[in-house]
Amino acid sequence: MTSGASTRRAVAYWLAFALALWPAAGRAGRDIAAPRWGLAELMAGLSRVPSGTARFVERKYLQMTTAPLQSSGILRYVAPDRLEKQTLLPQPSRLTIAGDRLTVERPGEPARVISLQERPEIGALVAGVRATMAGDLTTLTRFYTTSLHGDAAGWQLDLSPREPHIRELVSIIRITGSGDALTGVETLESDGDRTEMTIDAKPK
Amino acid sequence: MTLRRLIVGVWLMGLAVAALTIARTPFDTDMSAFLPRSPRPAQQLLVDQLREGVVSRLILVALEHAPPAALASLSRSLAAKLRQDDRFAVVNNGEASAMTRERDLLWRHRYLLSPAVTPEHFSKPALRRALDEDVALLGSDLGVLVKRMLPADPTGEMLKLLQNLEGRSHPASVGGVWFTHDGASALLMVSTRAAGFDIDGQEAALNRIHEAFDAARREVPDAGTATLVTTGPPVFAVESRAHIKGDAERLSLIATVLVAGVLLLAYRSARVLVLALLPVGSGILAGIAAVGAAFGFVHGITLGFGVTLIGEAVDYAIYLFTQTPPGGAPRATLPRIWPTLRLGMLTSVCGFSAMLASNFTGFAQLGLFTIIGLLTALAVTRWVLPALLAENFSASGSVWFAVPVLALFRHAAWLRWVVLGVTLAALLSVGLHRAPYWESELTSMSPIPAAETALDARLRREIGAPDVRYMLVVEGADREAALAASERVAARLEPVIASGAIGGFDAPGQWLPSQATQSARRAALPDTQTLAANLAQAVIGTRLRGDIFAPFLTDVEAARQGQLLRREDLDGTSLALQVDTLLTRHGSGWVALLPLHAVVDGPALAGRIDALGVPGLVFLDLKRESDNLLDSYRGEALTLSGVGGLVIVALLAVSLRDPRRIAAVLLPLAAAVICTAAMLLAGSQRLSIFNLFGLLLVVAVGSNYCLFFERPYLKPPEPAAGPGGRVCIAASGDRARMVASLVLANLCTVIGFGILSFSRVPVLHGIGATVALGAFLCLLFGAVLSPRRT
Repeated sequence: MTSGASTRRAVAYWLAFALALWPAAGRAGRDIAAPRWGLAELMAGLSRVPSGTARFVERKYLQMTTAPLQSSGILRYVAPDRLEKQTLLPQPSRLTIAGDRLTVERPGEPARVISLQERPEIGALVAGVRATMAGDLTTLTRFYTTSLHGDAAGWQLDLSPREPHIRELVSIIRITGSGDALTGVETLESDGDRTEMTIDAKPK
Repeated sequence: MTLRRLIVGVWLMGLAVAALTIARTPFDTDMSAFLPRSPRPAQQLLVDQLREGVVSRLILVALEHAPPAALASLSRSLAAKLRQDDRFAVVNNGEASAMTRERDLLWRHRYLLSPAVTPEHFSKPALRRALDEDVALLGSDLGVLVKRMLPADPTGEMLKLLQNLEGRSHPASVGGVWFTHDGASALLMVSTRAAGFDIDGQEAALNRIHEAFDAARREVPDAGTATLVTTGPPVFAVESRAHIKGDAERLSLIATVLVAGVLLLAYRSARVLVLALLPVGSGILAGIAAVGAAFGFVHGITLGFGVTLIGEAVDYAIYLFTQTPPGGAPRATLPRIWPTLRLGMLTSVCGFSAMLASNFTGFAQLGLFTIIGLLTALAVTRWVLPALLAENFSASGSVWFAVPVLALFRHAAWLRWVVLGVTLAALLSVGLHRAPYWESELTSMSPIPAAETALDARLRREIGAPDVRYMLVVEGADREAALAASERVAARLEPVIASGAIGGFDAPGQWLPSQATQSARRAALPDTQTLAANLAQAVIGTRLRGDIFAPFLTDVEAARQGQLLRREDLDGTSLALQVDTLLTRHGSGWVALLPLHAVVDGPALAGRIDALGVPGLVFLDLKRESDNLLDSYRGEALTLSGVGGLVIVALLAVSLRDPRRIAAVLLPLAAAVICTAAMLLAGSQRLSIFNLFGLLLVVAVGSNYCLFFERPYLKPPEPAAGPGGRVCIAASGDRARMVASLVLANLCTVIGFGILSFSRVPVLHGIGATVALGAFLCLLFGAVLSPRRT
């Protein structure tokens, strides 16, 4: 019964989701074929995205299940700090991050509210999210080691937590994208469980 | 000479006995002394809740005036310090980590605590349903929260228990600790171990909070400007005591100084001053000793009331000294004024006797204190003072006090009509008073300023602290019986919740099920073989692996072989306090309380609860009960005042016999009472019980003046012989001295009660203001309406 560990895990997961979300909104079609493309250029492009909507499909590969668990729904980002993941299938639920509060609502149940700043180490995770959203590369690299592969047309950004106690939970967050649009987020947990989210930034 | 020595000896011995009794009497400021002694059972529960219920121990703490981040750190630091202190049962500031002990306890006993545990709960189909739900949760956003628990708790007992534990209230949160919604104050909720009536214990706890806050403020950066606000019943109790104690000391001192000043002014003799204060001092000592002997304790408010006795009992010595002609001996005056003094004292005693019969311990104490005090003061005036005086002692004081009243006499012919007109107008204004006559809020009896009550209400709302109005009560012969009864009630309430009439309820069985219920749950747990077999079948086709549930099999088997949960197991968690307040000793048995949440329609619900047909189940509306309580106080106060008034009238009738004389005493009294009531209504819109008792005391005290004014042997005032008042006074002899003594006595009474009206304690303020005003009007009206003998 260590709620701390599961909460950290939750935040790590939601961090991935938040990261997934903000580029998902980026459908500006901006020309990114600059001669020297790198992390700074990627961040700058992504941070200019004000808001947006995308569809997602998520598959969880868990040690305790014999087959992946699949869900799907809609992601929304509303400036300045509201993030929403609305799952439609197989069962409806809604996850919202607004300010300091993370809320999970399921029909017929009281909403669960979690404070993101409950502990300093989680504060670090959140700071990572916010720094990224603000295009604050300095803060992002303070919390994560990054490694970027590919080019503007098809890239993969790997984030590894620097903090040991966060690394105990999440070993890597792998984000793939094309231009300012995200195409997927993969979270590898240290116990071997894995979550894959594919994002379709063109709803309907 | 020997008789005089004997008298003085008896008096001194009496004082010594009184002093000894007082030295052994405990003092108390518990405001529940002003709650009735023999209330109905439902009211007794209310009184018990006020005295020792969970609400009586709840302190709300707000940290303010610093940046939010600093306040959050301050909240953590303060909470950590208080959690180490034995004086606090619960310290909650919203930190999830603080609930670790509760979570561990729930986890270990989840199969005894979960209402879902029945034999069917572990059958193949039920397990299958549970596993399907698990898969749905795993795939959802809550998956991370359940993943770790799932192998040991696939039936989800812990999740349900946690939902109950977290409760309904979610205060706003900054940095993981509770804040007000505007983000300006960090909030903590602290429960003292000391019960509501243990004011010393609560004061110690409050002091500890302040110390811990000071220490925390030094440790946390940027928190230097932070301030601490505390509220809640313990704070109120401690402040009330401070108010009562402070008022009793301060006001007594002021009244003594003022009365002494007036006496010095009148007699210009320190010796007379000391002599005049002897009856008062003796009366106060005897009064406190009598209360201590009769009740076993003296309430702080009774002491505060001692102030009035100063103003009231000093009258007797004033009558004696002032009505003695220059060069005459007080001993010669006594036979002349003694019948009037005695009758006046008896009417006062009749008035205060009505309080003696009150169901409020507090009022009964005030009554006894005053009666014994007046009897003693008069006896000392009658027998001890003459015994102490030398044969040729003379102390006649200044008579210029009489001047204003003598002026009233001269203009009495037309002033009577003024008094009549004013009284009729007052009567009319009372009759036409639109708003309710009576104060209907119990809080009007509390010495807590409205601003602090408002602050308390605001913090309570922010923090979602229980503000319980409706609860169900069941009794049992012992704890188990009460628990079992509460579980039967809880089962009947499910359809009531389903219908939406109530949002939910708390019950002691949530955290401490009866032994019978726990045994039944334990017996419902299957053995490992059966469970493993059911599980193996249930898991087929669920996408969950079948081999992950070893912790589940182990834990169920452990619960099956384990001990039942006992009350002692809850010690060290906040659940202990929750259970203790919902399950308490009451009289010879035990009661279980079930507070109801989100009640839509109280009266309709009452009918519905009756219809449940559970014998002995009481539906308690605390608001209504407290209003009823106030109603019954008021009914009692009205009856007692009425009876007291009638007894005074009867006493006067028997003593005076002549209807004209009776009317001469009663008319000014009636006019004064009516005008006082009208002025109080005009001033504060409502009359409190304290005003009501005050009006009775107006009659009891004011009758003394009217009796003197009415005395038949008095000569009419002689016509003024010169341009100055002094000549006039010198000419009017006994009468002027009598009037001067009345004015002086009245002045002292008005000072005594008037000072009391500055008290922040409603009972002292209410009685003080009423009597000061009424007594003054009695003198005025008594002079104007005194019989004219020309």
